[in-house]
Amino acid sequence: MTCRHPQRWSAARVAVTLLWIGAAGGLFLATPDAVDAQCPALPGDAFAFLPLNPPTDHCPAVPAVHWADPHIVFECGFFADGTHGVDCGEDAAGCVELCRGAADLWNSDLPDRFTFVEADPSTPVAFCTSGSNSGGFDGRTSIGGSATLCDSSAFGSNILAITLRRTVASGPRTGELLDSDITVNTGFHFDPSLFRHVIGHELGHVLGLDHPDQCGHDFNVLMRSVVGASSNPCFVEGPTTDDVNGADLIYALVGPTPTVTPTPAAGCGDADGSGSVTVTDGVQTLRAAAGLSSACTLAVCDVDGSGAITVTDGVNVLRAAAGLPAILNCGG
Amino acid sequence: MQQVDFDAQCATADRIFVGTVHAVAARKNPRAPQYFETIVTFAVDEVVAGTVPPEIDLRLTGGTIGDEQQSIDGMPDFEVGERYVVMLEADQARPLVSPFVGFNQGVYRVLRDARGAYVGDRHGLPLPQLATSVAGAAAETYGRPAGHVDLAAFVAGIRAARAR
Repeated sequence: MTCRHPQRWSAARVAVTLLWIGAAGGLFLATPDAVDAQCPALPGDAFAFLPLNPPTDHCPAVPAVHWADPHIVFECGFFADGTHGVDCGEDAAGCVELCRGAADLWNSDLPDRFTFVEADPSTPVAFCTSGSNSGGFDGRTSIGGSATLCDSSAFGSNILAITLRRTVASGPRTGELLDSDITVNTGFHFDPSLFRHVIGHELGHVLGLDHPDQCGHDFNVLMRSVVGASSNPCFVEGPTTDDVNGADLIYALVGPTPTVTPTPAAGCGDADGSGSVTVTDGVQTLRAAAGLSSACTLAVCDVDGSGAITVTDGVNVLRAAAGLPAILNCGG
Repeated sequence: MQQVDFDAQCATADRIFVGTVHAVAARKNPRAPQYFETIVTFAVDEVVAGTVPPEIDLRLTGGTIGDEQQSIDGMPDFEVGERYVVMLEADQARPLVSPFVGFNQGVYRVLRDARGAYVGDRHGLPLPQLATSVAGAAAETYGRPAGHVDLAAFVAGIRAARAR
């Protein structure tokens, strides 16, 4: 079986029979022969891209939707805020960690292409801000549980979670994602593996991936539109090779590759003027990017020389503070 | 999303009809104006189950207004003139994200060729999982593209499933 992360397949592959979660809470028994039929080797291209103008561009051959800045701030802490918790099979703190773990899996698979950046506590993410004209849409991804979607509509009986996204539909920025928020249906009881699968699947949508099974590629990948029980031998808990291949195609096109700047401009990134680039400077840059009070000036914190202080600048400063390759090129 | 097998779709649907898309219009959600919703109006050709008026408006979360699109992955999309078999969940106090059984599973595209109307999945693609379960042998209609079934056989299969 082709699988980039075999450890993410369920250990229950030896099961003689398996149960699928089915309609109306029923369970359907599958035979061992069906197990083999349901777990074909992955072809490498079992991925799909989100369409921009459905149904006319259903299953686009090339990426149609993407983030201009492939560093997306997310917040899993809602699962422990006392309001947006879910039954994930662990306590609230455990749910938060499972959520973070799902983002970490994507991050480990997409180095230098796309990064889910955990929100800094000093710039809290609000729950559900993907609507327009609210003054609150923030380009960041809130992840939490609710009995209703962000727009107050009800889930229906078979939806585990939904990603609601906001995209530029026309003009020179067509296809650019502006915001996305993930809501997990509190009407379900998850086990930890299924919960992490669900979060990882929705984060795949945040990236720009769609359901390959609805585009003629029905394989057991993370982005399959339907999921069985985690005890199923075909269950995958995180991105498979095919999921990652799809994401690679999106962000090979738009993801700038950070490069080491051996001699950064003097003071570039040093928001507090301490003489070195530290995590504090990264936080200050992210605060400025969010429009909050900050010690930043454009000359010091616009480290990629884009003309504005953005989350990308904050990530670059944090990377530099951690000794990782980063862009520190104030002034362009 | 949880998979809903065809029998369960038929059994749990509150209303089922065959209809043609008459209008598609996006607007701001009156309950939460920062969000968009799309109203799809169907002219009902045939009522298969439940009570359905001659014309029915269905509300879906998301839509495009101006240069801004709000969307949910997998949400069915419709164009005026398209024909569908539609299975609806029961109305709730709050409007549903999607009114269709299983979010997008209870939506089947009706196509037409010289032999008449036939059914595919919601994109008009084959229905492999249904070919043997819908209306039994009647589903395997000679001369149809693989995985597609005659509309009449499909509707008969729905009625048979609801009778079980």
